[in-house]
Amino acid sequence: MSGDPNIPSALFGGAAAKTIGEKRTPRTDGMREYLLNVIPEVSSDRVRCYTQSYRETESEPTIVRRAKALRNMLQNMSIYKLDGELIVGNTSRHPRGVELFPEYEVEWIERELDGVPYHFAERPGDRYIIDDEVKQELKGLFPYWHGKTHCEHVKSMFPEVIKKAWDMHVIDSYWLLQGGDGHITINYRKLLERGIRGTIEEIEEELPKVDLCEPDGISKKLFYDAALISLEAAVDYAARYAEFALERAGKEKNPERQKELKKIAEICRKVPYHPVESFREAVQSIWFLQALIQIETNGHSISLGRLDQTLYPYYRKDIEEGVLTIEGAAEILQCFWLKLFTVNKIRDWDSTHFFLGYQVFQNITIGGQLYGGKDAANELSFLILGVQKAIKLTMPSISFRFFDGTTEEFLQAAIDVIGIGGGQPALYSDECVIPALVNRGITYEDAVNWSVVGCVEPIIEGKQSYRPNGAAFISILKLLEIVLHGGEDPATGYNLLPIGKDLSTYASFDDVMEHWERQAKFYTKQHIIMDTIIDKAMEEASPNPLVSSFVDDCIRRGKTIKQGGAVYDYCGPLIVGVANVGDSLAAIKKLIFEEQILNGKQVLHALDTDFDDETTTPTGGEIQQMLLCAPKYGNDDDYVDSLTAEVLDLFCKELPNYRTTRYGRGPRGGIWHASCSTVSANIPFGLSVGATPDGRKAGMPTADTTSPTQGMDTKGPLSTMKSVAKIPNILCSGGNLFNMKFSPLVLQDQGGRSKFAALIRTFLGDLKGMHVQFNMVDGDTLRDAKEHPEEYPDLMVRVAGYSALFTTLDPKLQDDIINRTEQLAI
Amino acid sequence: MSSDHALVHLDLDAELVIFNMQGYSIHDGPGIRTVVFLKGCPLVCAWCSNPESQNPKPELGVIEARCQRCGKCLPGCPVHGISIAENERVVTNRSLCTGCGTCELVCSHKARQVFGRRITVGDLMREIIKDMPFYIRSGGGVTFSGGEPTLQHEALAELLKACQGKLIHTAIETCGYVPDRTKLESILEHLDLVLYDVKCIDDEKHKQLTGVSNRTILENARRISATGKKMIVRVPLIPGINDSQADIQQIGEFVLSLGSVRELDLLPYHELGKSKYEMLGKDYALDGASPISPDRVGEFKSLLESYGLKCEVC
Repeated sequence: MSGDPNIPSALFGGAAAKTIGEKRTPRTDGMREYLLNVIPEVSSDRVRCYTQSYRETESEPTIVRRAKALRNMLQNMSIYKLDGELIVGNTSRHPRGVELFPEYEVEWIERELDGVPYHFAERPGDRYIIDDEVKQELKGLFPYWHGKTHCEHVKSMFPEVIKKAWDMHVIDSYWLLQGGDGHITINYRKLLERGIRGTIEEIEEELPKVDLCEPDGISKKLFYDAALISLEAAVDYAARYAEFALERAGKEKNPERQKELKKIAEICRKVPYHPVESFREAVQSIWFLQALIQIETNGHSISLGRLDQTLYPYYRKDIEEGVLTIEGAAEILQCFWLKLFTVNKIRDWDSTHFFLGYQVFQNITIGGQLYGGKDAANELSFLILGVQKAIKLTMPSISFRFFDGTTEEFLQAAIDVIGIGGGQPALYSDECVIPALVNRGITYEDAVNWSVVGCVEPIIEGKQSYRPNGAAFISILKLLEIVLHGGEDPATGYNLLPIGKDLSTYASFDDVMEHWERQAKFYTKQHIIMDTIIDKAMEEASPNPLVSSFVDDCIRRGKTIKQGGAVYDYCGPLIVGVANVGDSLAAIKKLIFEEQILNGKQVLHALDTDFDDETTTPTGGEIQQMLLCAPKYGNDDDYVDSLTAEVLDLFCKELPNYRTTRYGRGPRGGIWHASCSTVSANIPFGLSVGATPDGRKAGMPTADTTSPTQGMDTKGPLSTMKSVAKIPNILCSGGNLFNMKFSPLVLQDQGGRSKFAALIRTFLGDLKGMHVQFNMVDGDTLRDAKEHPEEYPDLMVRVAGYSALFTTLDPKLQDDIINRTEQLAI
Repeated sequence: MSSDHALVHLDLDAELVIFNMQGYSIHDGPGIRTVVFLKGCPLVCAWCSNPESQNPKPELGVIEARCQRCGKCLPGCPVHGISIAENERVVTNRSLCTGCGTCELVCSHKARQVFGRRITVGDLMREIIKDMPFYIRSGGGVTFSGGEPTLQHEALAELLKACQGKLIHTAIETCGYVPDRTKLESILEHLDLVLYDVKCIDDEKHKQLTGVSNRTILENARRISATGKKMIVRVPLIPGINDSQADIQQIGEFVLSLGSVRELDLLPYHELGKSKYEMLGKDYALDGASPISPDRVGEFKSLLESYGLKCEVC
């Protein structure tokens, strides 16, 4: 339906729909309260089902084993239904609970079950409870997996240099050894229009055409076989809910409730197998698949795409036929939001640092434009904003597509939700993203239909492979530290590409930049090698037939996504520490080479002693002070902004020179590209980097995303936005992220809200920034919440590309958020 | 470049002393504004929230709580104005201090901060122009505040001309105490909007509270109003000083008498400037004053609106 310029927007007036959506009903209010207070629990269902199935299928092909294991899980996992739920289906035994994925890795789970570094229930953040029996069962099941996991498989392929670069904390992607890629939006439109039945029919059409004499014949057939097993299992899973609801209906005395349960049973018999005929069926069908994909892969960032477009035809039809009211639609969506909130994923404690806040990054995109530049916002877009305001939880995330034609009414509706805090919705610019995607070879027709997965990654829903950005990291501040030390990492002593001179002996600033570029390219290559090995291992050992069935053109090509089934395919690293490197280079250029106030030897010594050596002249503290006074990115100062842009530009230009494992196997693209979405990785990466020439002390967090270094943007939001707009956002087609924190005061009257809208329009429209998200909390509130977490159970903050409950975060991250410059309008 | 061409008849080297520039100001004229704070003021209002604006020259502020008494600032001071007292406190002789900022640079605890810097018209314009996209999109522009901006009327006139040349909307915030009316007139023609402070109508009270009579101020208000220049009257609401019904009534009637002015902003008193008094070694006259309740402010707003005035609370 997307791309149909004849769909009218806002039939009834969007603002009214939003107002209706933002009131919780007694039903959703009760469920929300219950879920918010649940402490997530670990289940052994999936480990049991998968271990059993893998044991029985050892002689069979991997892809079929994967499908059969999924089937075993879907047939035997515990299912539940919360009181009052209209949308049903669960990803784990417990609400907000987690399943484990032993085929990827078990070592960390065994370690943490023994309390190293923490027992699940005693973690400093993102705690989980686990029943003793479950613990014992898991300990009994895990030995089967020793020597068989994805993680071990990958590590056995890593060359020595990769292991070293990893130990140096230049590159990291540990979470990709523990689970699947995720980061995808399947073709939900196709699901709604044709049902799983349609996909089965498609496969049945292709199967007879498979020529087993051809080299890829057998691989195609195995994919189809596995896809059919998975799809049928998905239908059976829904049928279990139909039976469950009927059984409950039989025991129910209240006639209203009984009717409700029977309705649920009726819908679960129908979808996701059949095409949907109503708004509610559409939501239920989407949720089933959303849940099932989580069970199949453990990859986070599985997203919903342009939900306001996908659901709109069904919404409009039901409203026009009088079988649905806006209030009814709002309640269904609220129930859906609460289901999305129940999805959870446990990671090892070290990786949890990178993704704090029980996050699995399920994004819903609204607004933007249709083919030809027509405004895509409709009442459902407004209703979704209202529902977000009503439910106000950390998941889902709402991504608001801005374009020059976005109406003031719609932008104001978004600002109203921003004003309640929690960092929702995040705002993205079509004016930057669409050309960025077209530049990568995506057709205009598809580019205009982009949506967000994960934190900020633009994707073409239903047509693009996993991980539009790699969600694996390169810490470029560590890279800079290495350059300053002659190629050597001071922490490990490794020197993988010796330079022969260091900061005390570089002849000129150009000399510094030349070696910076050489090292940057070298470690970029190491990152590519690492991620390519991971991709190869994923392709061979953990293919995902279910998700592949709903990504074009996997079925036509007879290929999983990892074999090159998707129409578009890109990947690329997350670049961490952009602002720090820009600031550091500016300080080196200005103080050492231009003004010659300090020499390289003095600075290097000050860095190595963490600015604490008071015996030198000037003292370490004085040197730090001078470095802090050098120009800083975030203040609209071309001197440093141009260096920062140059730093990022290097990666933007270098990455597309490399090919992914899918290159030439079907998809358009097949190359690597850049992104600066750091998630919360700026904290762990900061820990391993010593003092740096931007004046940063050893171990402190790096700057997050494309935002200026914490506290260094002192000239106010206009200057900060100007700086951020100067870096090559348009080449960061993997998605860029920019956090701003505002005092709620700026939105207290209509005048303030209009000016805030103008601020957004200038940044996203005129300056063509890619993304901005606003934290609307003041420092005092956050400090108080840190002291008295019990008083702030639902205080949400935007961490990076996602929102988290502030009180569940690690104290160090809490401090980081507090310290980000507060942009107060006076 | 065309931009330089437009500036060709201006004295770009004229200097001003400013103490702050604030982007994204949303209460000082239409749209998103960049406010430039000029230093120096003929008034000394008891409630002034920018005490660092009063002295026309750069001056030193000290945050005592941050001072670690390390003594690093002593040797560099060119006038030998810093010493360590018997109680180990660092003492600055303000009568010697020129506000040069040498001690600010060496203080690693950020305890010393100079308010005010000299900047040329050309350099300031380059800063102002940076925020142009935001002015265009929001219908905003630049507001010159202070202090009292007309004290630096010559350089200010050059700046305003430069802004006009770039089609940037211009405003000033003035206390109106400009005895030499030609100074006011020299800048008025380059302004799009005047934000005009009226504190109270009772002259005796005015003298007591600001140090000057309000006769010139009220006279200038009438004069500007007569030119038809767009003007908004701004009233700082100060507890115990001008927050009686009678005060507000008198102000409302005065504004009505101006004829062409129909807008009035109320600026309720706040204590945000208090810490700066300590930094400057000045006493805060209003210590202990409690803010005016929002309800009371609302009553004043209604009262003024009953005169047919458009009234906003900033």
